[in-house]
Amino acid sequence: MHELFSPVRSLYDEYMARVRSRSRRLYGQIDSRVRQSVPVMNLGTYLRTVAIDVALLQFIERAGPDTPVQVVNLGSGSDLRMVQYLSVFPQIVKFLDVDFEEAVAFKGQVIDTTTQLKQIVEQYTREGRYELLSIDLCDVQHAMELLTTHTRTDVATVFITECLLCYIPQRESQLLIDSIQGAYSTGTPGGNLWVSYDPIGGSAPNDRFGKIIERKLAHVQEPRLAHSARLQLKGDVRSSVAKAIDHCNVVIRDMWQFLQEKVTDEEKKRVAALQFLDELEELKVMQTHYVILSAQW
Amino acid sequence: MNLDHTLELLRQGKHIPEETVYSLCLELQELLINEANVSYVDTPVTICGDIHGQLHDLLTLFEKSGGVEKTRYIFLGDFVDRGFYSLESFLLLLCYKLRYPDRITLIRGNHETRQITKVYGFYDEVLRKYGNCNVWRYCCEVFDYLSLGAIINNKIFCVHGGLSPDVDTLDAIRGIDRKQEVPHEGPMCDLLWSDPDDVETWSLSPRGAGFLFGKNEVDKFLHGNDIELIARAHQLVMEGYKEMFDGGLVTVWSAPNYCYRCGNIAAVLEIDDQLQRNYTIFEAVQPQDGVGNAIIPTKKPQMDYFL
Repeated sequence: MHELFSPVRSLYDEYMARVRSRSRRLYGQIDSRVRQSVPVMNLGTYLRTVAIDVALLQFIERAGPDTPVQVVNLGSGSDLRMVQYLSVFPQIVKFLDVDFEEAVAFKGQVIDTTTQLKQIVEQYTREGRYELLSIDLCDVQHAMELLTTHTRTDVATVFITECLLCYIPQRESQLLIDSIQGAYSTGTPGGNLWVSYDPIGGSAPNDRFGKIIERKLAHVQEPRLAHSARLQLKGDVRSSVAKAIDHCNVVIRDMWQFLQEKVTDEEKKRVAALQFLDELEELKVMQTHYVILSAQW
Repeated sequence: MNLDHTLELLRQGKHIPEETVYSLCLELQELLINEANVSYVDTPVTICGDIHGQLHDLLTLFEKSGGVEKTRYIFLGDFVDRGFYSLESFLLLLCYKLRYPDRITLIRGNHETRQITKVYGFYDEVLRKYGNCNVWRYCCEVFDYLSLGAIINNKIFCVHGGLSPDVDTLDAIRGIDRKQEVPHEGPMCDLLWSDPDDVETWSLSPRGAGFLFGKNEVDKFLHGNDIELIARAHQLVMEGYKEMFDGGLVTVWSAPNYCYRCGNIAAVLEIDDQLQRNYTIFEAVQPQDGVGNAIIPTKKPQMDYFL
């Protein structure tokens, strides 16, 4: 995994510098989080990133170097993961970043003002290996038309959803999952994978931190999204996503389990040395309210 | 220094002049230097866990549990860091200690150190409020004089963290030279950092300081010192308190909605003359405008954990 991270720091710094010049508000939000540097937050972000990467890397490794792979990042936001993966894995024939029109436009504009990153993205785009596409995933029929047009359905494909499904109304998220499962066939070499990172909780009577998450979601600026997110949490995303991605080999871990079971002692020591963390109980409360799900078909 | 006036200012979360803090801390050092490493306390007494700078919740704690005019209290440490009113919370307790020295026992927590307060907020809070770190230095001097534990009616041992493999008896604690910054290892460190857990024997703590200890260690300590209970704090408990090891150990947590985002309730433990345990639970002070948290002085919402 280390080779994924060694050359990219300068690219992220460049991207952030350009975000600053385009949107002080957005930059301020990100920067204040980085500056406050609360250990539980940093560790949470680390776990989320590593969990997605572990699932993705395992899939690519299992498929083997000769099997073409596609990655579709649904709700990709400002994620620049594509740069790392496309440079390290030539078998990735397509990396598709998908988000709302505004988010895609912003990301495209920011990349356009960079130097180093722009060159890399243009090269991958020219090769047909990278695409940034605006799709409203709540409009499932239209979304499927675009997805199937811009990717191949007979190639092993990984779908990534990070804190996305909790914002899509239950009916549409179920339809989206069913449609993708149906369109991307099981017969492809390497199969397909759905990796999802989601909040859970709020339904159990004494789940106090779950209630906090619910309350925060209630203040999401888009009322429709807040409502559906609350509904999702009530139904517990852990079970609803697992049910939705049916007939698959589904593995779900909460992020505390992930930390305990999947992060090696050596890596834990490395991370602990980066920033002193005293608040283990707080970390546990928070991380047991997020899950990483891998569903293969 | 007008103690009543200072107490009133503190209850309102208002600014205390640097000179007043200096005088207060100096007087407290003179008072605390005469206290033993393990203070004797009589029943009835109310045991309180971590406060972590949540002044408004500390005021609720006093309100719900009788108040210092009528009740004897033991505070198990971690008065500062994380919350926005570490200074006022700590100074309020110091003022009460000065006013009612026999009714307040203050035990040192792992956050009452120079090193930890520089990372977890108290140092920054003082810099923000005074423009220099003098007040932080005065408070850190007081930290060094705080007791390491307390013993109630010779039957209940109170400590911030837990046990140490280097401490079999209360006398071993009495022999520690406590007037220093908390060391990185050794018995003084362990008393402030260790945690109970479902382990067979002493184990390494994931915190990187102190140890994990189990029922065997607790039973041995209880039996060896002829005591009934170890009361400690140090770990967030969502329900406010948690008994373990057939009731031989209890964790008490007194910072509701810890860090203004955890959603937990808080508790204090009252021990009556028959050593019966009575828990009082309480919730956090509610935000006043229904959206932001009006008790947060920076007027910025506390960082939510929602990734």
